[in-house]
Amino acid sequence: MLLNKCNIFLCTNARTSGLISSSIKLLSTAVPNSQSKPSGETKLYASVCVERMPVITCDMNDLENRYSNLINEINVRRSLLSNHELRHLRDIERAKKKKDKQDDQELVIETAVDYEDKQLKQFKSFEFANRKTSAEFDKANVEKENKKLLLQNIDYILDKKLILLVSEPNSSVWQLPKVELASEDLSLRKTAERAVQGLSEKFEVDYMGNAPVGVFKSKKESLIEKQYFFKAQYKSGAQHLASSKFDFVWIRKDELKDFIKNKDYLACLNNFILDF
Amino acid sequence: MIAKTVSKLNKKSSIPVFQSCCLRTSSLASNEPVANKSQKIKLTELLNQESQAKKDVKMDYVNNAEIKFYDPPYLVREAPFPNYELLNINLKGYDYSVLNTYYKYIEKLCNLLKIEVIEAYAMPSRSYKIKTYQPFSTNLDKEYNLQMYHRIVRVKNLKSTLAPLLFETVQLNLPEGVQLDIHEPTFEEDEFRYVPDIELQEMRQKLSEMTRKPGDSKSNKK
Repeated sequence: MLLNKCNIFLCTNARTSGLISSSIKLLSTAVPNSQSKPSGETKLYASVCVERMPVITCDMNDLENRYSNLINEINVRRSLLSNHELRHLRDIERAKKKKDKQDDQELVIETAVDYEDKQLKQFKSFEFANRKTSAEFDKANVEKENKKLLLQNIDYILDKKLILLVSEPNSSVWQLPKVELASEDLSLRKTAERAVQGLSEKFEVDYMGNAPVGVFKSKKESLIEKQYFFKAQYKSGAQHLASSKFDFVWIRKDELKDFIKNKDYLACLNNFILDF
Repeated sequence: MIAKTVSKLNKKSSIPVFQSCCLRTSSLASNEPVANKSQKIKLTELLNQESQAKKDVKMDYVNNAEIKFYDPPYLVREAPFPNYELLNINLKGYDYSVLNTYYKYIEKLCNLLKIEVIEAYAMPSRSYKIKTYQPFSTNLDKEYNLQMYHRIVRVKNLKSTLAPLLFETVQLNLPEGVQLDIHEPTFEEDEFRYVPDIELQEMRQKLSEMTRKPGDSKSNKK
């Protein structure tokens, strides 16, 4: 009965999630023919890649900085005079005329220079919030041993994308949150939603599309495991994640290789996790 | 095929699916995953030659005749994967040069990924006049004239497994000051592109007044 259901799910999922068309480079495995029966049991899992999008734009590197400065200079020098600069020129002329005429008319007009000073003063008094960039984070925490505790806080790094990794307590295997396909789920996406709700009820997430983005097939003796990955964006509720059932970290894509030891799994993840 | 089954679920069943302008496409709405998947199982059971022949009825509204397709039924007409039929990627921004280069980048990106780009066009810009007043008075402090520019890239038959990745690339590479909005195209949005025909509108108004008159006179008598 379970095998039959598995087959149906395989057939429909194969057709509906586009696993037949081999042109998709994102899927790392091919679908088995619906005619061939697996020798052992196949287990289907749905896992969700929850990502927190960057909040600030990242800093430019040295080359980009120099180029943008150069282009700005060129643009400023090539451009026509702006209102502010014209006003400044007119003020200078007026000052000259005043000197020549030596009238007693003392009109209190705000000159362009005064206006500029006033605005600069306002600018300097404004306090910018701390830009928590990944470079600063790395510098400050290179020698800390308990880095994992820090990584649990979602607000430490603001300029890069953070991915949620989960592990069972006292096990060193890190993976994306996953859950097995149950008979009451009408679609793979419902399973994926269950996977995230299982972490915490108040953890809110936006799913990007109904179809899975990647597949990972693993074989252990006669047991074939297939994981379908869904993509989701974190919306709110990271404070409620702490629990004793599982351990979690928010990491960047570069640090993925430190946490995930399985090479095939890592290769599969690298296909659909994008980082610019 | 997919559109036809989803349209059965939609309540707007009065709109024929194969409308020529194809704007009100009943495509896979992202809030209906359950119905889509369960309907798929039924479809595979129901597929006969007869039902396929019936579904291929297209109407030529100009000549008021049926366009018949005499293709053999084994020719696959639908794409083998579920896809989003039409999607509009809307880019809005106040900064013209940044918006323009980003919109060209998206077009090139879609071509690289072999996504069908039907149209990439500009919508008429909306101009805003913003006035700030001096505190506790109605004297004008500053006045700004801004223009919100709008670009649309229309994409057809986007594979649903590739869609999340495309959305993410577009979102991650957004330059500062550009707003992104991705949704299915609506009729009103498309109408905004064109200059309204004043004569036609006047005539329509006259017509509606004329048809309303006998009704009004009846109510007056009562």
